[in-house]
Amino acid sequence: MRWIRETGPVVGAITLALGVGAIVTALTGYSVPQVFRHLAVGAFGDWYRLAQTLTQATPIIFTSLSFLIAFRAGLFNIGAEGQLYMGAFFAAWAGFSFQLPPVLHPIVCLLFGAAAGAVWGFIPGWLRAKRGANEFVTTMMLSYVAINFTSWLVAPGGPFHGTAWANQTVRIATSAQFPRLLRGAQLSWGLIVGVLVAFLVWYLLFRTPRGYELRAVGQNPLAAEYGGINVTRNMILALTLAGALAGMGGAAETLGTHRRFIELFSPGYGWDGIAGGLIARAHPLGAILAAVMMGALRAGGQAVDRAGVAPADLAAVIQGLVILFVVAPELIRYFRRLVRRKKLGDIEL
Amino acid sequence: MKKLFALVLVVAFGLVTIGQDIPKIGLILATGGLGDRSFNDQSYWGAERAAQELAARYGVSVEEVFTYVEPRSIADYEAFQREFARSGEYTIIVCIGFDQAPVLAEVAPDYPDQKFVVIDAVAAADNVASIVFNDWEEAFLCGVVAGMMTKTGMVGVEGGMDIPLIHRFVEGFRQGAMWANPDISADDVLVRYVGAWNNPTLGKELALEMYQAGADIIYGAAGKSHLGVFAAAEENPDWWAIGTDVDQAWSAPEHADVIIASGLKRVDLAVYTEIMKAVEGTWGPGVISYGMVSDTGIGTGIAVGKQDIGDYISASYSEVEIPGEVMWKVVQAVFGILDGSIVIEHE
Repeated sequence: MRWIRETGPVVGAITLALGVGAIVTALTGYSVPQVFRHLAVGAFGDWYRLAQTLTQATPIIFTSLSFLIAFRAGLFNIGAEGQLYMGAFFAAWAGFSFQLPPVLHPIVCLLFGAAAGAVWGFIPGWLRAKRGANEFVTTMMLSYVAINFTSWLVAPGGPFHGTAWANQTVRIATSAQFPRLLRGAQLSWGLIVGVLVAFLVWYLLFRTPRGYELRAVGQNPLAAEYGGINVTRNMILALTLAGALAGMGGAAETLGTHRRFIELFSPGYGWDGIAGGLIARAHPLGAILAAVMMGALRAGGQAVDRAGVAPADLAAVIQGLVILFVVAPELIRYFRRLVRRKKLGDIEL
Repeated sequence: MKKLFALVLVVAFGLVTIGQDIPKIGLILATGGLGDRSFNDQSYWGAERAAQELAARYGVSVEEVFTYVEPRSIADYEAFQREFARSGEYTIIVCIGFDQAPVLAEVAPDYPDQKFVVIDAVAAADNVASIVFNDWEEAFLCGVVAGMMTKTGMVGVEGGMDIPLIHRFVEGFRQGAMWANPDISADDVLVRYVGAWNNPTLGKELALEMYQAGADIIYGAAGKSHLGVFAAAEENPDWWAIGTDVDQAWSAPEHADVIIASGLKRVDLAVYTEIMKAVEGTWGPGVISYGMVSDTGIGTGIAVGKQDIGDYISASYSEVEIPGEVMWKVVQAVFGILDGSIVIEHE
């Protein structure tokens, strides 16, 4: 019953969003059945299309986990996009710099990606916990730093500009690549790693004392402090873990999907993670489903674009509506709780 | 019996017609995207012209024989290349832009029966035709016009990226300006790189910087970004611009009052030719070079002045009056390049 209560509104919101999307499509003069048929076929039509959906979903699993682990600790990680880029680049660096045996090499690369993302999460975590700097601002600003920094690294004149003029690194060693799951598709082991990591995050949050502490800090920092939990340390830990998760997402993109670091490779997977985490109601396993849904919208959108039945922008509008309808109520609820908590805090003080 | 025979004939003929494959063109544009009034748009026109002819030939709509996509990032190329190739629907897949080549070299061998074309770089695979242009030739001719027309003795060139492909434009332009005007030294040719093909705002800022430093004519070789050069030139009656790849006084008519000439790089011709070769069954893989001194002997030139002169100088829609001595110098340059008395350094 609880399951239905939790997912019911999400399904309702998606249906509503698709309905409004249909109206927008009709009003702009495009054929509703054609657009929606291509959207559906493009996302799930055959094995290849399904693989495309899952390819798009893979980084979103990681960024959703990144968002929700911070969210559980009462923090907003808006910077998954930048952490993703840091992870993607440093995984690539480990991929073309080291010579290691096959199974070990991608693991090392993944850890490099996680570490790079972790650093990019630790900085705002430390600033928040020790200096009170709003993580909303710091994570987002650091995102732009990461995106531009990695772009510079591979731009002409940068230290890791590849050999083929394009703004990308050289290809990573074959030993470092995630094997692809389907011939001719970009879907790779990254997906499986993502699902495994989602289970790990679930275990950490709900089955370990550490996870309990994180959640306690998120629910009521004052009470947690009173209960003997180190709030400062848990805040830093939450954002560091968030960064590591997004960094691993970037690493998965590098190791499986592109096999090199490409500047500006992400069409906004980090931002999708915010929506993904909220759609999943901050549940790690829900994040998998939410990511698949977002991936389906992206893959379907591409198909709509290619088939020429409507411009890609229209598909983006439908994607935006789904996110808006699903996420907006969740956000309103969150802010309401924040206001209420503030009032309670005033009384306590 | 006669009727039956006729019926069989009709059915058989019908089957033949149905069984006959209608060719289909797939076009993957570069990240600059449509609306650059230059490289990408021109590629599109080439494919569109082929599509219109094929649509008329087979009695179908243009949409049925032609699909194109505009990738937003280099990271999108592989997915699009695979999606087009995998569908098996396309007679030929045309990939625009040098940055598609590395990933195409990896993708193409997975689809050995699919024909690919890549423009501006070489992708070594058995089913790819790589089209390269002598970019330095158009740039040299533009340099000649700039060298003759400058009043300040200083000119500029704005490149999309600081890479060998664009260095060819820069070097060609510099040599052309110095060849035409002995008062111009290498230092009098300013160079700026935008770092992106689709950032006209930054393109305008960099152009203003060069104009304010004393250059009065700027040559743009930066895709959509150098639309900013034209916008900058509009701000002062003494500032002029030169376009690239297509007569931009025609493709960007609102700037015909500042664009004195444009380099020509007939990407449309190359795209059209490759498509038609694939349709007619005469297509083959390998490297094909276009330009004045090349395998094909065509494909580069300049749009300047009011009339076509030979194969390499076309009339321009520019509203700016070009003096006869400038035209004569351009003609001399063309002859010089063709007879080998002018050798343009480009590597």
